[in-house]
Amino acid sequence: MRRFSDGDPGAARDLYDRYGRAVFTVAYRALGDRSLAEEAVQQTFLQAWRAASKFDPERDPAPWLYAIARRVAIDLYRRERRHDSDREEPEVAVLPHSFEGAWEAWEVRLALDRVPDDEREILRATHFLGLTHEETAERLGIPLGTVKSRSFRAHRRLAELLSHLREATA
Amino acid sequence: MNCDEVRAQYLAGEDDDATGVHLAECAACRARREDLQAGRRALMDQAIWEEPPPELEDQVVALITANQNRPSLGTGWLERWVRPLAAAAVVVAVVGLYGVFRTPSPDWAVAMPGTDLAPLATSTIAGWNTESGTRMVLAVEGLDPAPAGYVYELWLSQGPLHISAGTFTADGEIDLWTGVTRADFPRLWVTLEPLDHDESPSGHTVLDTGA
Repeated sequence: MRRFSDGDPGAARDLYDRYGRAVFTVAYRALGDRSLAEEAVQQTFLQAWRAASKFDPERDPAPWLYAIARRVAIDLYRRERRHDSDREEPEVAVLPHSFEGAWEAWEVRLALDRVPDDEREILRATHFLGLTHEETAERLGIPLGTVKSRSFRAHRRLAELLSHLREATA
Repeated sequence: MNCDEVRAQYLAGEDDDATGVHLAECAACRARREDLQAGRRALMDQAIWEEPPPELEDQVVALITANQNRPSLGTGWLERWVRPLAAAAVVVAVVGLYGVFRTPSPDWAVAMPGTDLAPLATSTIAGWNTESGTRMVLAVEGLDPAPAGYVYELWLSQGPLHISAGTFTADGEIDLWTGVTRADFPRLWVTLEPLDHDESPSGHTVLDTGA
């Protein structure tokens, strides 16, 4: 983060590697569109770059980046809403429900990025695809016992990483 | 069954009688229950599992490399005198260039001077009326980069009704959109906004056309 704050553009790749997927997650959750989410990721990192000289590199950049990402998503949402709207009467925008839970999505995505690939694919199969352990074993072509042991390790790791999720939200 | 096992089972949605007994007796695990419920809900969200395209990283790095000369803070007489004069020249040039090079020319352009909070800042804003609202290009000089945790936000106002046209973090030439027209919302102003959940303008106005 110090190199980024000092204006080293090479540090942008490191920052993206750490937070790029989480920024994309927040933007996709809020906007529900891949191309808009990609635009939001670019704008988020560009705004962070432009403001980085003011950022204390000793601080955790995660809440700062999240706040920029959310704000960029709001801007894009409003822009698209205006494009789509044929109403003549202006209205102070109310954010849709998709913006709720963005912080939890951010935190969970950051935590998932720290889970090994083989454990993460078990989490995806069981939570997102809704598969049982047996179905997961069949789908991934691995023994049922392996699925169960990876599932336990993954959930134990994730439970630890997600400690105080709600506190952070507040 | 220890706390780690109970929390893992709870997050997995595999809680049973044994986890229930443990939760009833363990205040630490009960305190974590909402975290785990929120995590479990989030794990079912498609957004969590959607991957950005691989080329996006290179695009972000290229964008930043192309903007290497980010604004820096200056001080002293140079800052006090030369920058405002240069900014004024830029304002004139920008307004002129719209007429010469842009197609079509803006429907309006107006200067938006710095307030007491940003006395060195100058800006001009040009607008194009469209069917869905107004496209605007804001050209700002002499405005310090927004501090960490803050952004600048452009507003169009008619009395107490304020419409945001977007945010930015540093001076330069910024593309912005609004769904309203300047004829209906004549006041244009820029505030420094904390990155919080409050969608209304703060009292920290840095640029303003006036009411």
